[in-house]
Amino acid sequence: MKQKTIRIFILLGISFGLLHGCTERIDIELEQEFTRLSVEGYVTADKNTFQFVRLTKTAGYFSNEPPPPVSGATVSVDDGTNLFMFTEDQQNPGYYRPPQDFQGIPGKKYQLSVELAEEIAGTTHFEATETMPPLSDDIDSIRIIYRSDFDFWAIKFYGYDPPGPNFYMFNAIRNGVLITDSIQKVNVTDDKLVDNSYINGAYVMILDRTELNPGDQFTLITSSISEEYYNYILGLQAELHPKNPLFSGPPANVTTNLSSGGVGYFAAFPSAYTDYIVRPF
Amino acid sequence: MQKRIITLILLIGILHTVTLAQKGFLTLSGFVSDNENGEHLPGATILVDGLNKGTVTNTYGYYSLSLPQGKYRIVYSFIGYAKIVVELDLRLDTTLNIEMQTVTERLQEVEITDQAARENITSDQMSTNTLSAKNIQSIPMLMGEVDLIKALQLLPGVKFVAEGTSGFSVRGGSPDQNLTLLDEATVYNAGHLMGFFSVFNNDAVNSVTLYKGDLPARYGGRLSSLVDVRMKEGNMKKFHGNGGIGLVASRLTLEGPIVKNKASFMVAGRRTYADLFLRLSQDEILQSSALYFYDLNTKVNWSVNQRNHIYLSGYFGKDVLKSSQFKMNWGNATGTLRWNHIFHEKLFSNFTFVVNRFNYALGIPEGNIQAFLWESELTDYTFKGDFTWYANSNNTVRFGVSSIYHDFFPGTIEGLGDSASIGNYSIPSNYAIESGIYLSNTQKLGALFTLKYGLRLSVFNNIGPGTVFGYDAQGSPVDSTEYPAGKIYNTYVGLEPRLGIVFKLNEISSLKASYSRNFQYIQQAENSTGGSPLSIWFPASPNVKPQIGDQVALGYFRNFKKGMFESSAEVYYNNVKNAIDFRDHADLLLNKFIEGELLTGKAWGYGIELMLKKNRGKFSGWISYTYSRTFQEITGISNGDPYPASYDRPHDFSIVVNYNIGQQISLGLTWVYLTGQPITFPVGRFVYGNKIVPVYSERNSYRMPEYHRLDVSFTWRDKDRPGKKWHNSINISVYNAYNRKNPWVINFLSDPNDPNVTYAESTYLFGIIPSITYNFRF
Repeated sequence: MKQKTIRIFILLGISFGLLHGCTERIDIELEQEFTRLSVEGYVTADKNTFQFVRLTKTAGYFSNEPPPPVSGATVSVDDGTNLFMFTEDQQNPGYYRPPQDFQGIPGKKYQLSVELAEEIAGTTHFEATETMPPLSDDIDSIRIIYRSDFDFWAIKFYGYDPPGPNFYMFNAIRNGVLITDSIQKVNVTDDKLVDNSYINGAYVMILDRTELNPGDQFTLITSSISEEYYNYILGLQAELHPKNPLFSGPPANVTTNLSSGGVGYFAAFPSAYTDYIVRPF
Repeated sequence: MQKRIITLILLIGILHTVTLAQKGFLTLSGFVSDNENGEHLPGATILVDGLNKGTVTNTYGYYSLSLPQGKYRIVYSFIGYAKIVVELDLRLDTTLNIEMQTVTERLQEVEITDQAARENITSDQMSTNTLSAKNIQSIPMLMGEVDLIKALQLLPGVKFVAEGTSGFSVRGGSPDQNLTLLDEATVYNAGHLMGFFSVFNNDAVNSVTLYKGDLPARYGGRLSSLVDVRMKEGNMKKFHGNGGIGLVASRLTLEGPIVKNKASFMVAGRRTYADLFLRLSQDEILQSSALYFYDLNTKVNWSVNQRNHIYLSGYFGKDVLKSSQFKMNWGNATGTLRWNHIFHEKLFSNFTFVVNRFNYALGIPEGNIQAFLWESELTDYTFKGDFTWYANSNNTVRFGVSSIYHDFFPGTIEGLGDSASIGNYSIPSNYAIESGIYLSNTQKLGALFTLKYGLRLSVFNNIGPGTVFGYDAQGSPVDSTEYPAGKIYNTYVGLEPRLGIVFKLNEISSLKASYSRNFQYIQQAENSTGGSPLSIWFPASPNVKPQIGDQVALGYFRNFKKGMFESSAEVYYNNVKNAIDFRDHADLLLNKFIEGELLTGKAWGYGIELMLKKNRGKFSGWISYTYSRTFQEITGISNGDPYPASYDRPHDFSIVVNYNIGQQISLGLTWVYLTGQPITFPVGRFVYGNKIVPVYSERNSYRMPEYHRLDVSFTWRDKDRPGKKWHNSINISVYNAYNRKNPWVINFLSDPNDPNVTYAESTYLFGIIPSITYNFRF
């Protein structure tokens, strides 16, 4: 729903020329000393390379450097019965990978533990827990249409939404390459408007004309995510979107599931994959 | 129990002073009006020469004075009017209606007496400002559109909340803590075109009075202020019209007698035509688009007889934004019926019936794939009975009742057409009754003191049908309770004392102090500052306690040069309990569980407001300076530590000048300066999902650059000769004359060419904007 609202506001903003205003870069002095541990962690129900835990340090806002990796930490994930050790990727410092055949199971609760070699903001131990939601995979099909009036591709979804609150995340693969390659391109939605009913072609993703070509092999990844992770992504997207005093609330840090002042999120979700060959315009 | 005793003491006090009134007193009463158009003059002064006795006409121009039998010289005066002296041998209760004449520039200096301008010294009300439509007209404005709300924003203690918009903060309060009344009807959203223009057409307005915190006991329901806008009554004597053509809008107002001196009408309309330019565009989408607003003010005024007077007034305004793929509209509609009845020369009454509505609708029209319609509405039905009992020359007792039935329809969204991919979602309506009963007395104690003491008892009931959700600490719903239609399922009671004292130091200066408590039972769900029309109002409920505001103020008032200059200095402290704010990233639109998004705490503020105003002469205008602070402490924001509220702008300086060069030309100038708005900036960053994400400072710990702006205007009027019917004038104005780039918003963005580089970008809305307006009257 929030997605819808945001899109309406963007449309409104565009319609209302006055809001364009004029922009210029300005210099602002900001505090530089702030440092925290940042975690980006994924457990999925597939044996794939999307599973990792990345540790970095936060930097001053205008630092203009790649994020400093945190190496030499002990990283583990506990599913209640087994403890899985994640080992650091020697080629990519700060990335910690699971054992070869590690795979999450829907319904299980995963606890991440991080033990740092050196203190950050006064502590070395960080934790986060996330329960992997069940997979809602009652998907009939998808269809992709080109809308000449807006000059974009719309990915339409046909399937059944099970009863109870569900939260979805949509990613896209085109000819084997993930095109939703940043958190801003990922789409998330709740099921407020479709709860326990058949979804008859709702747009779940919109892509620029240049992002797809007729004949492309397209895969929609539909992930069932927790409400917390849904809110986290929405919060991030809100913070990455330019603010507008008419519609934006005050800037705010996104609620993390990390303990001890860490930032970022440790997520666990299962996914369903739906293929489609893009048709001519 | 203690509260009940206070009420009782108050009652006894009033009764006691009244019974002391001697028998054998006579009443002199009547209406004071303008002799040219017959409109009543509120605030005119009536003084008994030689005795230290007098009164002021009420909002409807009525006065009543008690005097022993005898011979008197009665002086009627009002700013801008020639004084009238009546020699009177008072032997019976007497009705004396007075018609006053406006003074010309030349006569002004001779005719003005210091009494005319004494009102600000002697009035039992402090922290108020009144602006007439004429004052407002002389202030240069954005795109030449004369705007009452933006004129108010130039007064001490009043600040705009975002550049160019009609939202404003009074003494640090939020915009929804202002009660805006148009002929007694609540205007819930005072902005057109996203708030860049206010809903008030100045041509239809007589005057506006702003009460900062110290609301008269007959009003309640908001913590910060009351903006009391009164429409013109309509000319009782002659048919007149005026209007104008500007860059943004055209206006036309007609007024005149229906039956001469008995009944009159006024009708004023306004429409923008920005969309006409869209039609000229090459772009097909723009061609079929519409973007406009219009509003219509109407009023009928019928003087049935000396004892009965009926006013019927209405407002209807709408904003429309439309294209083939999207449409949206919103607006206010109000209707007010008022009946003034004089039961007795000493007992004046007014009965008011109001219906007002604010609604919006937006959606994608049918025929499009994602077609939907989203609607929201708030309707109020109000009844009020207000009585003024002019008990004797030392006591004026006011009492009355009011009741508002609120019908909240927060919103519903539904998919349209056969191929609708959006289902339906609606937030259930809810209902409430907000009532008040009050009693107050203004008592003169000797020649030096005037006391005002009153009590307002407010009662708020939530009535069924309604659903109340229970929430956990994170604001997630855990249970729900349904209530049947008509069931009162929650009640709040508020005792709101209003106290004031005036100590007259001499004829030209006084000291005043006041204390007031207000309860606010309904508020706006909005966490942005810019005044979006898509906000909803929601009531107090079992989950939401009413906000309670206390304010104390102390002021010194002094006039110079026979009232040519008025000056004032006021200090205040205010405090709000159960102050409301919202969770981070709150979802405030189309959310059944909006109460789960609320956070509560406290808010407080203090300030000093200085003002020097020049009322007449070639130069007129005012200078005001405010130093104020305002803070909030909300559980769940900034670790529960106090932080500056968004409206905390310590230094606020305004200069408003109007300079008349002869009869035909006048120049206007406005300069404003405000400390930058408090803001939350990033202090760090991290990477998530291949994007640089900011980590923010504590709430509002940085400030935007300071705001300042100069506006100028030049007005030319054609020569006035006796007998001339049609008058022209041309106004040229320049907004932001030295083209200051005042930031509207500062965004922190990633460089698209180098994802590791982040920078700050300022957006400003209005550079230098010249405009021209043609006005006429006949």
